[in-house]
Amino acid sequence: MKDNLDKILDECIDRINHGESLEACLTDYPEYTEELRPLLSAMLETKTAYSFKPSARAKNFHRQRFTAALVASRERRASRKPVFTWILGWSKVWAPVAAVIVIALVGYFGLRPALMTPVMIAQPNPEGNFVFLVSDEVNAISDFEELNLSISRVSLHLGGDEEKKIEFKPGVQMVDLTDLQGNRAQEIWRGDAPEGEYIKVLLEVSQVSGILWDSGEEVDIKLPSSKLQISKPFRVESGEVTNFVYDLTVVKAGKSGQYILKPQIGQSGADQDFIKVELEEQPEDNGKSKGKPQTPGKPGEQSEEFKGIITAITESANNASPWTMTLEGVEGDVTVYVAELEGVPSLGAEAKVEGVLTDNTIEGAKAEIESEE
Amino acid sequence: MGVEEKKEVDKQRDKENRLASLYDEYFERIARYIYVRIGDRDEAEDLAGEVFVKALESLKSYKERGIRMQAWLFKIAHNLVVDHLRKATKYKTTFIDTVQIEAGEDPATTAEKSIEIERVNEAMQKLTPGQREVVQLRFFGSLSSKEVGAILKKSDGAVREMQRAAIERLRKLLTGGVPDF
Repeated sequence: MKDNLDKILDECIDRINHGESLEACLTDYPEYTEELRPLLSAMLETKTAYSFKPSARAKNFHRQRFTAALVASRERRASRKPVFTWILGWSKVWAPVAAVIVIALVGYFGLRPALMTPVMIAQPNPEGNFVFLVSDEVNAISDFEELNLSISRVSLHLGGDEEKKIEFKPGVQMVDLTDLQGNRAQEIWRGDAPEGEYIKVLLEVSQVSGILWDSGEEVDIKLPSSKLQISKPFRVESGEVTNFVYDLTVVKAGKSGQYILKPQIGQSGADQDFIKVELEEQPEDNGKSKGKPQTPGKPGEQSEEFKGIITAITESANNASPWTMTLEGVEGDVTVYVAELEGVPSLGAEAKVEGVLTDNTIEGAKAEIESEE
Repeated sequence: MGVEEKKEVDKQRDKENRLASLYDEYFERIARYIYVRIGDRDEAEDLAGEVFVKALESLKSYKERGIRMQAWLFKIAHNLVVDHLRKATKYKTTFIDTVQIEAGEDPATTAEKSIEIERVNEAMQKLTPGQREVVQLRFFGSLSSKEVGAILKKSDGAVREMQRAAIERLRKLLTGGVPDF
């Protein structure tokens, strides 16, 4: 019975692999429908989850590589014939050995270069013609106090008949995406890139970590791959400066609540408007680490220190945040979202709060409970 | 050129032509099989290209009376993947879809899709290595059970049995049940 089911299941998988529907197969085996349906549905779910079709460009590129290797192999075979014939004439015993050595040498030295995309290491130059910037398209970034990304390498792929790869190590390897929201972008490398049409940019990320505003906890941020790719053609000219903005975005998956960092192709490219964030304009204590997260268009707001009494508290939240409190010198109650907390908040307790006050709200505040009444 | 030598050259040329004729149909299947195993689209495409070049290099050792050339390509792909995974640096990555978010696309939907891949991948990781290999070669390589058996050195009956056990376990994991181990 099991063996029969194995065979029918196997046949149905073959048929589905060749384009038939699940139902078509079930119709042919009504007596097995109950057992087959859940199994074939699981098979389809697995197949669908991994649906992937390689790009036509990659397929063509590798076809060219294969054809070139084939032609080279045939040419080499033709050119080594006299030696091969001589060896055969000399000794039939040694001929196979010699042939293996020849094939191995030709294979290694002749075909090896065709296996790899040529790589050119680009040199940094403060006056260079290519500037690489990183930015962040706003999605779930406002959930973060910090989102640090360590970029170990960038590869630019030159198109054309023979694909080449230009690589560089960024001068600035660590960026905090919370500083780069919207059209704010940080230059991480400037140097000389060869003139030409580029088809793809790969960003190699060695580390990513984020700290949430509301809990102050470090959270796991998923990466699709250690190499984040954007396929967006752009041109580099030798006589002019090309600014390429690589846009990333952190998104929160609805069901699982997991954070995922992904390239954002729509906001990336050499044609993007951006506001360049200068490193020297990023003082350590600009309020980011203590106050409200910067939002696009509101850079550099100053963090202040306030004292007041807690008037209402959210019982359900883990860190009892947000709460409402009166603040000295501020009219009306203020809602406070806490990122860092010292002490236990309670109704009527006196608290010291540090952060940026906007419209009677402080987000990402650093709070200290001083005393309870 | 002697008769024997000419025969050898013709045989080699014939094998090369057959290999070239498989490119269009099998590049995609091999890339998909590799993608499922390594989770990186770019690398999967590159490795799929390398499978054909490697096959060309090793064509002399390919015996026509052994497994079909199609299945032999997957054997090469399997070896390349093993080698790739051994060399791969231990970045903090997960197997989620590498689709870029296009302008106007809902990032939440894209993220959900990624999570779905991860969910299925987690289930796949709970299969035995043998079951996983059978599923990868059957579902994504679209090889027959006989061909999978030739690669894994098992009978086609044993492959079918592993396949059923693998799918039953996947089904339980994907529907939230606890599989019987």
